[in-house]
Amino acid sequence: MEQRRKKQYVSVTARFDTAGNIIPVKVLWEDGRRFDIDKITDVRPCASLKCGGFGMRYTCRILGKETYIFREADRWYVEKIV
Amino acid sequence: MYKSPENPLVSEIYNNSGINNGRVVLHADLNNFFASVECSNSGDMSLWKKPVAVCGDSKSRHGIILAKNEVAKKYGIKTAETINEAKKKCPKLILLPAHYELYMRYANAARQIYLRYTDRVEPFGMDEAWLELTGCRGVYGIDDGRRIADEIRKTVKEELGITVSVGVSDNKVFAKLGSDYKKPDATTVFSPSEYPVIRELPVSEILYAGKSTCAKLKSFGITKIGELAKKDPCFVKGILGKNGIMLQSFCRGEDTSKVAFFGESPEAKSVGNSTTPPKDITGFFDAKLILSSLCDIVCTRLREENLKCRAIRMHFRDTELHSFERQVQLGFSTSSSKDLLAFSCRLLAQSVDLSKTPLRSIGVCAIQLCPAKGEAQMSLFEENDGKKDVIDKTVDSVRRRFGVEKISNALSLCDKEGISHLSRGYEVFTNLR
Repeated sequence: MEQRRKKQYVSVTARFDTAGNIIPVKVLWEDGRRFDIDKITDVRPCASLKCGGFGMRYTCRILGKETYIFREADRWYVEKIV
Repeated sequence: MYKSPENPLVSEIYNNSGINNGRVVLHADLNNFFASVECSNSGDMSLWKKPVAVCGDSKSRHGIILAKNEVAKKYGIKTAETINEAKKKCPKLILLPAHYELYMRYANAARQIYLRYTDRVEPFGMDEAWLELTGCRGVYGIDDGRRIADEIRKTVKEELGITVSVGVSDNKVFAKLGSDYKKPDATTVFSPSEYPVIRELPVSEILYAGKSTCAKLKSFGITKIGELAKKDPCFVKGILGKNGIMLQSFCRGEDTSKVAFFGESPEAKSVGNSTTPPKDITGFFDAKLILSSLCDIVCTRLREENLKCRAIRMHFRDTELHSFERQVQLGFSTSSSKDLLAFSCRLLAQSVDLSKTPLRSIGVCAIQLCPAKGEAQMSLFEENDGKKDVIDKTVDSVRRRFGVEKISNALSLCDKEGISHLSRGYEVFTNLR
């Protein structure tokens, strides 16, 4: 059975490149843990089918696992497993 | 059967030789928009399979169904019916409050997707838009309307998580007919070869054919689009006036109106606001309080657009939900809320006996607009020493600098129950600040 997920807004440290692109570098989890984003493999506008909403979806590799981070206007969220 | 000398296509109108002006017009309609946004944004995918409706706030007497999803539709739930009626039809109906800012975000994102294909994107309400692709074919390597429509549907679904129905035709009216023809998430092409299908559709499906118009047409035995298209224009004009000619040209596929550039707002023909207060309007003083707020908003909007009006139209709805309208010529042009309030109170007194017919909602609309600057017909009877203009300008200035609530009509101090409080309408100031 597929795990249930909910929208979890998170703090993100991001870098702005010279072309004005916003690239997330670190994710600050609600319990204070920080996760470095090792690699971003894809960026596209996309709806989150697991927890709702839409925005710019960053496909990231964190601690060897692939995960999505969404930028919704000026806020960031992840699909948290509940 | 009537054959117009000017339009040899009438007799053959729905044959393959019908009108084909080379245009490609799309009409995109976001399906069950409010309900779809709620289902998509909630993250609870099971909501799509349950009956869901978005409704207004019942405490402020706006408790009607604003939108419903596909499952709720199957229970026969209709837009604008009361929550109680809807609950009777489907006791398990999930009711969700409306979130207009969220809907605007989705609507804007959808428009941004449309703008990838053409700069001629004309919104029609929050959830619909026309796209003119005539000059854009081939630019993106896609040359036919159906493929572009399919790509738009796929993109909207992927990027926003909601579905859209798209109609493709060579004019705006048939494109809209197409988007309504098949729902949800479908493309319908109405090219001349599909005109026999259009001929058989009910006339109520055509744009701007309302209940009264259709009832009148039915009394003359006209129920299908094809039947209206073939009637003698003089006969149609006789029963529906000049709007009948417009409707008939729509039915013939002769609509030549252009799709506006995105952001290009058409010239305003009227400026109006209406409200449903928390309780029925049973006395003239209550009505005056509400009219004072409505006239204030209407005139503020007129002044922001540098317009004046020469007439007003009022809309009334009684407690039995019967609506009627009355209008009056002012005899001069104005954008002063004091003038509008005086005329609207007079019109109300002439039109409705509030002790016998309490009102559920009321609206004021400024019509016959003209530019505020320039020559204007002066009244022989009304004095205009310019004081009213100075007062209005000062009020606008204070509101722009300090907020809408900082200055208001002294009459509003008598409003202990807050019946004249209007939550919407003053956006013009919030947008400016």
